[in-house]
Amino acid sequence: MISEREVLAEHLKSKNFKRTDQRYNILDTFLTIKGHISAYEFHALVRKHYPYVGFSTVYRTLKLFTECGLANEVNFGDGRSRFEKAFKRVNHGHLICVKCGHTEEFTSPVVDKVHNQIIKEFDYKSQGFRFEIYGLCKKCR
Amino acid sequence: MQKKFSRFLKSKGLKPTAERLTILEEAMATDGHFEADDLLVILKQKSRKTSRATIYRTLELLALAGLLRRVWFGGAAVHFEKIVDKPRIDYMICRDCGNRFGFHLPELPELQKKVCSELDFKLLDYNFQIFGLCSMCSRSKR
Repeated sequence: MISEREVLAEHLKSKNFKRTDQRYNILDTFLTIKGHISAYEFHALVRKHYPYVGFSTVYRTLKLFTECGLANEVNFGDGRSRFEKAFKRVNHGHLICVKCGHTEEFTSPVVDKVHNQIIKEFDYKSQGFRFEIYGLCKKCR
Repeated sequence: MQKKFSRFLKSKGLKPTAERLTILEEAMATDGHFEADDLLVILKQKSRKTSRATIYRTLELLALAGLLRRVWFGGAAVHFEKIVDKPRIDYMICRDCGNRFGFHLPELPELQKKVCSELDFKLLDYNFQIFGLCSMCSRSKR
């Protein structure tokens, strides 16, 4: 079965980008995260293991991960993008409380069904969907 | 529209200044999606005095007042669109060429209600997008 490293290598090759150690080091750190992480938080984590990696490199590499389906970029409505692991994960949506920022993940066969219908109709090679529902949690109502 | 926005501003302790109302007028006259910077260009062309910061803040207010909706296409900029009484269009975005393909999913409102009631949330808004490669780009990569 294809690994995350192979997915990245393939993507870098298709973009004519170099397969630098730094990019793979960032990938190794990315694979250790749990849940959602902002680029700033992730940069701090990368720096613990690799102190000489700059923020721009981390941010650009996260974007590369997103492009090749290793990461999902999620928007919780607070103006800050967060990233989560996407490779070999079930497609899921997020429910976000706009007041306290509390998030819940959910899966639904209905969304999977409509997603499959749409990509078939448009002959689209999907890397997944992003479904965010904004609302107020029980505590904030 | 103007009355609704003025009432909203009043409830927030803000004034319906001429600048805010001009931004409302222009935002409502724009069809489709636009960024704050697009509006700035239009207003400058019409020699209306305003600043980027005012536009940003006013667009946020219009979204809070329920007159505009934020749309996010995965890039750095947030787009806005008018909230109208037409079926809502969601988008599929090609990661290679950036082209967007609109579609309407009648199943989504019911599904959201169900998810919200299961997890005890009060529904306000949503964002649904499909990411990947369009048929042209995926063919050129083969």
